[in-house]
Amino acid sequence: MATSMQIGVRVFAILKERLGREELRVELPEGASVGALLVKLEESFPALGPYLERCMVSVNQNYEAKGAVIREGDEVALLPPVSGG
Amino acid sequence: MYRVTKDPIWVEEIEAWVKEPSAGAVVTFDGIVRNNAEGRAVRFLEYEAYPEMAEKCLGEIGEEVKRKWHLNKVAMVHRIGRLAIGESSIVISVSAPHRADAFAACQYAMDRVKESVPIWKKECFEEGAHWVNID
Repeated sequence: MATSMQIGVRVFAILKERLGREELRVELPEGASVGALLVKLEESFPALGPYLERCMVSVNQNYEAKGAVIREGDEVALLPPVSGG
Repeated sequence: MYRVTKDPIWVEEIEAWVKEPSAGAVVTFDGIVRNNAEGRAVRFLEYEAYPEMAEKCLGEIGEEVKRKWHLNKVAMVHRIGRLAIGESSIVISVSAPHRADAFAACQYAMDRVKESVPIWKKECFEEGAHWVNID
């Protein structure tokens, strides 16, 4: 039977302001993909709706595509389009 | 030197750090908070970072430009928090034996920062504020 994992997703800038917190908690099946995480986030946090499509996901401080796998204990973040400089 | 900091950036210190006896050129980009954006008066900017990843990305860009051009040293420092008009938000300083490499590497590094380093800018106007690129 597939076990589940708790993932903390750090959020920044506009996402942090709109959601009023720095980390979102979600439960996913062990070994879920970044794409599955995005679906779960959209279901769980409707306030992300307008922004999610333009966000990137990082896992252990590397940008990852939707097919990448997330493991329990990974450092995960949801990153809006960057605007440094 | 790859750093995200809440403190003011001192350009002279960074240039002193990149200077070496074998380097005949130092090129520095000093990014300054401007008093206007899209025709509106800006009061101040607020920058936020994912600091650990931002420093890692700055380091990756620094190593990339060292592979592409013949350089001595690369320093990239981005400031976060509330910045006033006229303050430096980012300084990139590159030393190289010859100027062409230093100019090219400095420009390329700055372009890469804009594309990929997880730092976000909020423009704060007389009335209202918005996060650049998304709000």
